Amino acid sequence: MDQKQKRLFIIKNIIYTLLMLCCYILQETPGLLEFFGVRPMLIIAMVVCIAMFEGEFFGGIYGLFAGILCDTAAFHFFGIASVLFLILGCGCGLLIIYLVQPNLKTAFLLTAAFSFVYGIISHYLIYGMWGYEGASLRLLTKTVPCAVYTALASVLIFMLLTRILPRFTPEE
Amino acid sequence: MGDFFKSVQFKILALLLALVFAFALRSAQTGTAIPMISKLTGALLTPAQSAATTTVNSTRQFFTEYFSGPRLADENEQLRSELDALRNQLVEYDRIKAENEQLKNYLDIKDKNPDFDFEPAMVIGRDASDRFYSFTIDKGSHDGVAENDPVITEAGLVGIVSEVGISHSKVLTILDATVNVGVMDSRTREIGAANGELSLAEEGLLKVNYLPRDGQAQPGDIIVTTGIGGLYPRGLIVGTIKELLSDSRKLSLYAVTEPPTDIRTVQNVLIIKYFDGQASAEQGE
Repeated sequence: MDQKQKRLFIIKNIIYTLLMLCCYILQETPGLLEFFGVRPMLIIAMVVCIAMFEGEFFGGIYGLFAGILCDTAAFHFFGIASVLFLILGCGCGLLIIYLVQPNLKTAFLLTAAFSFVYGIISHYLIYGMWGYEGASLRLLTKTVPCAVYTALASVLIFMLLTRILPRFTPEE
Repeated sequence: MGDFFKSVQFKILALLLALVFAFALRSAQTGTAIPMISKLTGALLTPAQSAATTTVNSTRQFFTEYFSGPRLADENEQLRSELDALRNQLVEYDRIKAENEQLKNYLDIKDKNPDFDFEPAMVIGRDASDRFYSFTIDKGSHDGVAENDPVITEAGLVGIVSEVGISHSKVLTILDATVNVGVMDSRTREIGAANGELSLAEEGLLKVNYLPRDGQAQPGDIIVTTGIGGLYPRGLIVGTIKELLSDSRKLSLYAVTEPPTDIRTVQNVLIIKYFDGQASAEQGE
């Protein structure tokens, strides 16, 4: 990696980090982006898009970063999001390398799947296993709409990244 | 794919995963977040979150005023000829009155409870995945906020501080199933325990359990804190009974209760940093 490539690599990762923080702040701001009581988890869409563009290693690393941010804001015990996001980010990267094409449709479907899997597992760990009344209904009324809303947001994030990234990708 | 599992990158990710997993187990065991990571991230992000919330609130207010402007202008036009001067005075009077009412409410609490030491705070974050409408506020240990401090509005109890960072704190609302508040019916003095339930939290309601089957409580009664245990001051309004139902074992009644403030959308709160009879954080736990 020569000097120019190194510089582009650093700038690209600074952009990813800043976008991740922006997504986090937007998704946590009360009342913003809320639609019928459902808010998108923009940070998931961001992890999926990074994993698509950068592969499994950076998918995992940024997944961990996003997970730590989510765990910081969350009211359940620390670590659920960090563990799941790391695994799911890495998994998305591997899927892109070996199974599917990195395009808008894939971003949409992977984000929906990621949000849904995260939603189900975290829902079970936080509510389901403790036997809260009405937990299953909440899964239908909140987790599924949240996954769809997040997947829709991934379209915008994917388009944003495809516009930005070529400027910071070294020419072969 | 086999190459990836033999690579250094995979080993790094596996190591990180093991580390985070260990943190998660510790957190699950102790029931708390990892204070260092949580405090550091909170301290770094609180100013940005605070700015974002203020911007969103200001923008919303601007658009509300913008869209309601034409209607108000028409109305004003019709009345201007006969009531212009008087109306201007009234508008000014109403604004001052509303401000006074709000300030008076806060002062009322202070007057009634001279022992209370307040800290006003703004809601700067709500977790998208939380189902009990818990929130983050812009005040932390730097402002004297401590774990287990009660959080209220001028109308009544909202929740309790569950975690404190340097410049932010997390608040569990009374809609949360893990928050239990000792309460009583202010009219009949019947004692119960208020806590949240997933399905009721969605509607901004909570439950008051263990009311006696042969008691006198009825819809419309006001539920207040008992002060027992030292976590909450005595006499804070928790809500109004909406419906009385029999519990599943038919041993007692529970009351579906509506808090005086819509906790799902509350924007400004007061933290009670001190009150007479307050238990310390250790005692509270």
